[in-house]
Amino acid sequence: MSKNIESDNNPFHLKWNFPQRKTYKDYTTSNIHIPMRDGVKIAVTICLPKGIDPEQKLPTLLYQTRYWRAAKLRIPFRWVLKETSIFTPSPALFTKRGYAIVYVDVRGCGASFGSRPYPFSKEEVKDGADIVDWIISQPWSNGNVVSNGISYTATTAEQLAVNNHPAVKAIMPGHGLWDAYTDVAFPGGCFDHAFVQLWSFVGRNLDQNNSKAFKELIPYLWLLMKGVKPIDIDTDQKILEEAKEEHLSNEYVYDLLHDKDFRDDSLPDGATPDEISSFIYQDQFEKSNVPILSWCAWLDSAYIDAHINRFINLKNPHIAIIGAWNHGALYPADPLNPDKPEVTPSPKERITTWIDFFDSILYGEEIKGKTLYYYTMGEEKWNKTQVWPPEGFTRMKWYLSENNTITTKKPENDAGEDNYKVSFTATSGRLNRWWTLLGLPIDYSNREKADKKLLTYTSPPFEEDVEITGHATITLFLRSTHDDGAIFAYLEEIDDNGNIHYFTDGNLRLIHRKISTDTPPYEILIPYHSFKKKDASPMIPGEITEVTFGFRPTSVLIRKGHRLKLAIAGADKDTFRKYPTDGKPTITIARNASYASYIDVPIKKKNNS
Amino acid sequence: MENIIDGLKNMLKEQVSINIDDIKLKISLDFKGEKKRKDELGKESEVKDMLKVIGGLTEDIQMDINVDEESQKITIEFKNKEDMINVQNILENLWEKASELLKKAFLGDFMAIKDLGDFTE
Repeated sequence: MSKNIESDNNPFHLKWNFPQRKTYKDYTTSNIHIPMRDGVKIAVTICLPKGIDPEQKLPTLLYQTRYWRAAKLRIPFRWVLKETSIFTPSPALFTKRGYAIVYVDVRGCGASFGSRPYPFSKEEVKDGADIVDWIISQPWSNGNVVSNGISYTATTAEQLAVNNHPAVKAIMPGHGLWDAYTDVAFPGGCFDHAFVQLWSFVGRNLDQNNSKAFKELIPYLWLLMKGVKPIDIDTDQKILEEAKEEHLSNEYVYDLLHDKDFRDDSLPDGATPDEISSFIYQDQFEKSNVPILSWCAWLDSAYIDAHINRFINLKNPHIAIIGAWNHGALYPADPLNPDKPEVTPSPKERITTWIDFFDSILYGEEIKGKTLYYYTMGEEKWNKTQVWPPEGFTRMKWYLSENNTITTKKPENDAGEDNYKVSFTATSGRLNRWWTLLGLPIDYSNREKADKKLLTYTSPPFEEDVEITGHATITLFLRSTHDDGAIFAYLEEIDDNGNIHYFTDGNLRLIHRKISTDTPPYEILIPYHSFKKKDASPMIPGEITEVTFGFRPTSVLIRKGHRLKLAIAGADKDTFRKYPTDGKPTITIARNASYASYIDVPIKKKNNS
Repeated sequence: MENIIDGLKNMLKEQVSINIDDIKLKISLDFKGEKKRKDELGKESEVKDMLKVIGGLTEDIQMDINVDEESQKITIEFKNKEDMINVQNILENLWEKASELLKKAFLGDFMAIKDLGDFTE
């Protein structure tokens, strides 16, 4: 990074370098339609600082969403709150510092016209450029546009850069996908049935302006919001009704994917799930050279894979941050410190850093190079690195051994195996890393009970503090009674009192077990499974086979005296589809001299003296 | 969002005054501050929803609701005094109740809203 002064490795303590500017107390809102290149009318809400001079020129924050750009609130809330009150944190934090904000309903959504074949379609991406053209033609615009967002809106912010529009100066994707197949729909090739179905349900209701769907899922939104905010001239909502009619042609990902298995399965228009991804735009991102501040959390679904993959693959100037919170950073999520009462930094502190980043780029100094700030769970400390994985770590193998143990000593016996009859009632719960994609808190405090249905292996107590940071992998030599199945592997630590703390996991559907020798579509740091039809093969019942896959990246400190635990399941019933569909396999895991199953973990021993 | 919820009750108190006319059996909600369009003030059905879902009005009370953009006023007329007092009691606690419900819902308290009933629109 350029000349920013850092007091420590906490990215929220960065001292940014930019001049102070005039601040504003309040903001105005207006709601209009903007015509796109093909005539589709896109609804926008424009927030401008109150009291700006007519000749005042402002940078614009662009925020493109599929979750309603603004709300028509219910009474009495509507009487005192603005239509943008649903956003956390308040847009006032940006307008206060002299930014205009343009909130957008992407085509096919909210009060916009048009329809969508799937999320992040090519047309949706192009709309970003049309909207930027409109912004910079406004009398209040200074010609600079930045974009941020969380989750869906992270991807719209990121893909704004695809257009290589010269007015786009910086992007800030928070908790955004990189590869839709592995990050969201099919992590490890296993269909995340729960999220994809719920997300599609929510989307369908949003697009028909039905807030009733929120009552069970996000109750405060149901109580607060009557629907999407119509444009200002649409006082009888007739224009909104016309837009809703067009949304009836929308497609939803559950309908598109629920009968699919492979990365190269076709969607109705001949596209593949890759069309929904960001990685396909790597060349355009790099050509734009737009600076990026990306942020995510260790326990956020497979979005943490997305985050690391974005960091290692893009050459753009880049600040990446990994914290210990849920998807969207409303709740803390550090399983080794489960009693932490609230998320740090606070949303207000976080957003201040985000605005500082934009101010620095627009008014201060450019961002150079790449830096990743990461929080080590259990140590409660921020670290930073220019490369991932960080330097100074060595790989250590722990072998599955007798009596449900793992040890650093390779087995020497010719025999040794464990049978596991798959429990299809096994679950990591509904407050796991996958359900947090709905914004829910994360809670893995039930591992003692959950592990009783799993095959587990525990290490001896550690003789010193050990930091695990990076991607661990698992290699199992196994046979099954069935031709399909899945392995879910959990890494946990056991403290002095016997409390079990989950910290990461990995999973793989067994038909995808082939390690591909093809070049991956982007650089990855774990064994490459293509998830393509040509590489899939059923298991041969009774035949031993090698299965290797990566755990999701982590950073955790295991204290001296604590133990490492590996727990293996064949299902996660509240999240993933059941493999195989019928039957109840027994999986036999070998742990002997010929077939030594193991985990391979990046470690750094800490000096305890 | 939490900061807004904390200030909600006072904002409503400051911007909406509740006036009772015992003789004419009328309650009026008078709006101060920036002028609101008719659709921003609300429809008759929205006022009823507010009283029922948020206020907890259980009886099917006969009332005439008039939303007037010009005077920035919502007027509710009743057929009898008992009904008026019933709604008056609800309105007097409504700002606090709305704020509390929203706060509970924001903190994920599903039980707090489970039995509220449904909005008609």
